[in-house]
Amino acid sequence: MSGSPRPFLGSGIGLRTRHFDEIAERGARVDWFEALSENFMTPGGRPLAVLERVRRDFPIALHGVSLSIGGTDPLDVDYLRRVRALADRFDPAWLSDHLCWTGVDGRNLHDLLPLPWTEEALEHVVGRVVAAQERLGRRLVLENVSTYLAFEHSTLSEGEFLAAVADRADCDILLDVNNAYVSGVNHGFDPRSLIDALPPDRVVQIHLAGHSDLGTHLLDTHDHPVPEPVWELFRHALRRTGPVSSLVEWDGAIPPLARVEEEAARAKEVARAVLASEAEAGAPRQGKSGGRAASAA
Amino acid sequence: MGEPPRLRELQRRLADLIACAPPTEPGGVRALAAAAEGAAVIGDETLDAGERVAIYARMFFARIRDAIAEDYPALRAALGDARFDDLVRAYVAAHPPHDPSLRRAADALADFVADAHDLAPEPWAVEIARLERAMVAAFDAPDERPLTRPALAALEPARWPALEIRPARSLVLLACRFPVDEIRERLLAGEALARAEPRPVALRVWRQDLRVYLRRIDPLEETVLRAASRGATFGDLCERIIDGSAGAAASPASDAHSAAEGVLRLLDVWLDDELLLDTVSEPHPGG
Repeated sequence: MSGSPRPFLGSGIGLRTRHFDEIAERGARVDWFEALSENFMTPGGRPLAVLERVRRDFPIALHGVSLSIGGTDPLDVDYLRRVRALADRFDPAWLSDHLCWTGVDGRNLHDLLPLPWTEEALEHVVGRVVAAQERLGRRLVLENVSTYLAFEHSTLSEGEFLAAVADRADCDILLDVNNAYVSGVNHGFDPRSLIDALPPDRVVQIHLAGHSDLGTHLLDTHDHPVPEPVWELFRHALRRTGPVSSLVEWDGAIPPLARVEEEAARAKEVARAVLASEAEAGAPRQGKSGGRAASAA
Repeated sequence: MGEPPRLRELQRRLADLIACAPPTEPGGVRALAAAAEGAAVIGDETLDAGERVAIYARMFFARIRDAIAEDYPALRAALGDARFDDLVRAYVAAHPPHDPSLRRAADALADFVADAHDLAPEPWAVEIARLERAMVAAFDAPDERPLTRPALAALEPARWPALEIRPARSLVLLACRFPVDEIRERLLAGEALARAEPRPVALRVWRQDLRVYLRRIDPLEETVLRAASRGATFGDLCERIIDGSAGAAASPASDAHSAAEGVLRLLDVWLDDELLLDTVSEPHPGG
């Protein structure tokens, strides 16, 4: 699938119901918003009116949680039709969803469930990404998810799997550095290895969020500020990718808009500092390979 | 472990484990661990395979419970947290979610409550559930152009009898055995409601200016709105009042003039509430 280079949107935040009134009153001090597609799949009402209002002033991306690109039920063509209708109406910079499955036999578990990193699953996912992109008329952006279990027969790492999907299906990547950190701790691997396995030119967005430490494992709760190890992974990723649109997610114990804006401002400052430092060093970025140009040719 | 399952079989086994109630006892976790190994899940010294699956099982229930609680706050208040959780657990087992939107997970909850006397014995519980379901439906209803006074003022008098009176699709009419509007307010205010006396009320729920409203209505308004919902003209509604079919509690009007006045009084309120669709103006270009 052909596609023009992704725009650089700067530092954004997730659009949440709690902030609707405040955004309507005073706007927001961020560069862009990410809207959860499923929240706007209604015939009408306040969410759509708010998104119309936001879209007048800001770039947006649409972020889905129900594509189930790794699922084994047939692709939900009605869902894809609804996503496409939203995209046609709001002209997002891109459409993203998750590298996961969400249910089987028609039952929706409303979770981002892990795949085994096998050749069988890889072939399956690649075919579905190609089919979904054809239905959507756009290149997809796929995100790595937080996981709490792994499968004995995986033969690839998560990073290798996601990189192979992006290459074979010609899709892009949303790198969630919080998810990488949570999964790394939960499974005992270095999250930098996941980032390093991804083709930098395919990474068009980075997610930042907080999590909860339950002692035996980390839970991806999005209800805390971005913790320091996740900021450090953000820096690590930026050294490989160069300027990439970033976005702060805050979904639980959501604070006032100003607090989320602060977090987005910090993301902007961290990116500025990393990129200035890289420019000063004058070295080519570690991972830049021209992969996009090669795959798009 | 034997041959790992193919992807679809793996997903089926895992989905069954996640959708079952999360184990709360060590024996349950051990049983889950054995089953998880059948889905090729691996554990380690920190968390065994069963505990790892249990993380997803707990999140599955909590996510659906929280979504339903957000849309059904009075029902939750009526039952209390523990009984509400029991109700949701039984409901999800009977009606597993299918729609991509979590907000649709509770579509059948009110009907389920009607039959779940053991889980929700309060006689008003089902009417609270139906009221909160109506409020969700109104919130998500299609955007429509409301009928306005200027549009009506421009209508020639001769066209009034054939004027189509069509309610907005956000409108839901509820005939209740209990005063559930009052009960809901008391529950949301934190009042522990041991019992309530039956007292029939009619309610209308609708959306205006992107917000959902609830109002108690008299028998005349209820009957006329129900007739309008089935499809009626201004003339039809006047005749309904004249012949007394507007209900026993509504006084039949003696002539066409007073009947028209009766409908006009209702019309006045409905215009304030943007309750009617604009069936008068030319459609906007493009629909």
